[in-house]
Amino acid sequence: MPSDRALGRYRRWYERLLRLYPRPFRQRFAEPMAQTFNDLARERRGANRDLVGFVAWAFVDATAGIIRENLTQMQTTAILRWVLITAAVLAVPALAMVFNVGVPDPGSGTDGVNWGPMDFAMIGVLVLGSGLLYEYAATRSRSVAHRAAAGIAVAAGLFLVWINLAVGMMDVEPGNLMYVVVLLVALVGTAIGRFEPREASTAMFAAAGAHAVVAVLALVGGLGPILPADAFFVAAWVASALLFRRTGVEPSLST
Amino acid sequence: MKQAERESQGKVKMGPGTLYGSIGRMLDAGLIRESDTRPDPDLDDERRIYYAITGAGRRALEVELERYREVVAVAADKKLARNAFADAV
Repeated sequence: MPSDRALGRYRRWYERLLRLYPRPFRQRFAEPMAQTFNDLARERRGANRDLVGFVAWAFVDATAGIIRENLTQMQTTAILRWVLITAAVLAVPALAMVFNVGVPDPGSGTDGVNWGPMDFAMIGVLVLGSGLLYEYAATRSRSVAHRAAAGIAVAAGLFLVWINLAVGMMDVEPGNLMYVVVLLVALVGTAIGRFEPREASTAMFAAAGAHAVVAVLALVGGLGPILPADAFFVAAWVASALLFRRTGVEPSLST
Repeated sequence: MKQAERESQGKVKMGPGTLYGSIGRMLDAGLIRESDTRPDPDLDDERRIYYAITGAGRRALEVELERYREVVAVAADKKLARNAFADAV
């Protein structure tokens, strides 16, 4: 039977997850939600029913609620704006394929731009997801520095994924998977801190450090990294970190 | 949550996220309100918050149930799914 310590751990994780709800919702319901989760978990433990499955289901349920409440919180115009931007971005390769524009690439056996449905879907999800992530981060503060920091961080993540999907930043393919660690450090770090300035600054410095380590490992391992590109991304993470730190020092303008 | 699961014979399972999201939307729409009425102290828990349906909520519920009833009546009339309407309307 899971111990009180395990129950306490699950509750703490659940309470951390609840911090991703928008502030107004969190202020109203976070405490009763955590209490309800705790009560249900205790009941299941007392009845010797599966607790891990319940915890996983409760986390998925909360994650769905977080996405729904944050999308509701976002201005409809902001969501529409990013849908249009995504459509505009996808229109470029679409039109290039229609009008046969692009430099033929003998190495790939294609006649220039040649995107399949999965390519459009993947890039569409990336651009729209990045845009909505930026909107979520931007609502944390009215500070220009904060929005710039969030924009740089999201753009760096987007381009890092895009470049690696398209061509890869290393000559040896599996090496590019190391950049997943950099993205996880950035995403998890900012998620835990809910894009609050101090925590986000720490997360961005950590992402810069992780990226530098990846580049060094790739160099030492002969994976053929493109060092100027890595330097660019490290600079972007650091710039974002410094801007977040500046926001943390300014008088709070949080919403 | 447990009552919803029990009364739907396990078909409706909602977690705290779904439940409180729904409560929030119903409060914002004025369909329910917080209630000061507490049940028998033996059944009560001071941590609990009680909600009551409002007049607007009751009217919205009646309209919605009437809509469902009309949809089911049309489907039964057209015999769209014979087995589903054996006891309907």
